[in-house]
Amino acid sequence: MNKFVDYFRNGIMESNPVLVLLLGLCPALAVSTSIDNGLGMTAAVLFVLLFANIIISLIRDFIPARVRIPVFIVIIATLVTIVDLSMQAFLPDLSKSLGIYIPLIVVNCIILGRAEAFASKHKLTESIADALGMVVGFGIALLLISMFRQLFGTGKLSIFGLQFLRVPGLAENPMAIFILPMGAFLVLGVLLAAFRYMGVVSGE
Amino acid sequence: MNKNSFSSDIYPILFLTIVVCIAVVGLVLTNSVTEERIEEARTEALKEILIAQFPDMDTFEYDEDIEVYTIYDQDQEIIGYAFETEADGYGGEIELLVALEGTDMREGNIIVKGISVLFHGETPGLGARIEEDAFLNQFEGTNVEDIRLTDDGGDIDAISGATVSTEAVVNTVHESALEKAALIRENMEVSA
Repeated sequence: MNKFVDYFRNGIMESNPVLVLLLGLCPALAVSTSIDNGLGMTAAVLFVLLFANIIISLIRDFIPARVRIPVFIVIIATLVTIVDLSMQAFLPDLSKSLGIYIPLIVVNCIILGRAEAFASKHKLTESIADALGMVVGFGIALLLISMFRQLFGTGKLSIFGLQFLRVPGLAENPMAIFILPMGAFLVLGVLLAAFRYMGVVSGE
Repeated sequence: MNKNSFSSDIYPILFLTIVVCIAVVGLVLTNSVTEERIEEARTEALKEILIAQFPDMDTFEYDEDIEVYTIYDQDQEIIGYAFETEADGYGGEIELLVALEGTDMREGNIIVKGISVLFHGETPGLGARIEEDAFLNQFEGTNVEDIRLTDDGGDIDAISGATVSTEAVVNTVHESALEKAALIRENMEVSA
């Protein structure tokens, strides 16, 4: 049982995909303009990574080594298309604001990385623990980045239209730079530095 | 070629083929479930955009040849027209919906009812302010001849710090409204 806790914890702390491994930065930086987008992206990645890990772990003994990468990509691309179509059908607004970044989950290196490095070598239950840990780690990173960008970039904090914080002064004259791409790099850089300094995450 | 190397060659091909077949089945199933809903969601979104411009709208018709929506009220009278167009903004294409009053479309009688920004990639705080009512309201009920920047003798005030975005929107609305009005008029003459 401890092993599963370790695998789960690994994705959040020692191997946090965004904050330690610096994987999946494209979606992490691009969609983190608001908390809603961050949560939507995390939900999409949760579905794809969890099922990719489950399927690949189940068929790991049958996958011929020479075609393993094409097999992984076909499975991941299928899952992503399912998410994309379902979002367009049932959550059109979210689908519009995440735009091209949903189809791009196909080439998100976290998912292919976990398939190759973990799911193809581990048992089903361990692969599930790994997927959940990775997604929670990814989600925490996205939530932090999008929270700071939304706070400084708009002066307000809201989740799904529910506003719970409004900074007087900042809301009228927000620092738009935080919504721009360079704001994403700034926030990520400061977060990385802060976490290393505090010893929350460690590189080696 | 002995039997062993044959099977080790054929197995990966067979395996990948089976995986792809299963994936195709999964996608066909997903598509059949979502196809109708996606179409519905799109029509719903379009209807919302049109109603924002024409609160009295009951139904609308799309003419594929001239790419114009004709808007009808409850008595099936034409109350206006709308069309989508694209402007070259600072951060890429700006997608616009332009609504026209239901006039006879004669020169000098082409009135813009209003415009909506459907999509843009302009800079937040600068070009993105084309989405604000203060800018968009200037188009409401304006004769197309006056849809030019005040500097060019028109009625539309530019947004400071967003020259490229505002010029793109204003000029595109002006030109595309004239162009579409001519097409609508042609259609009217043919049917009359």
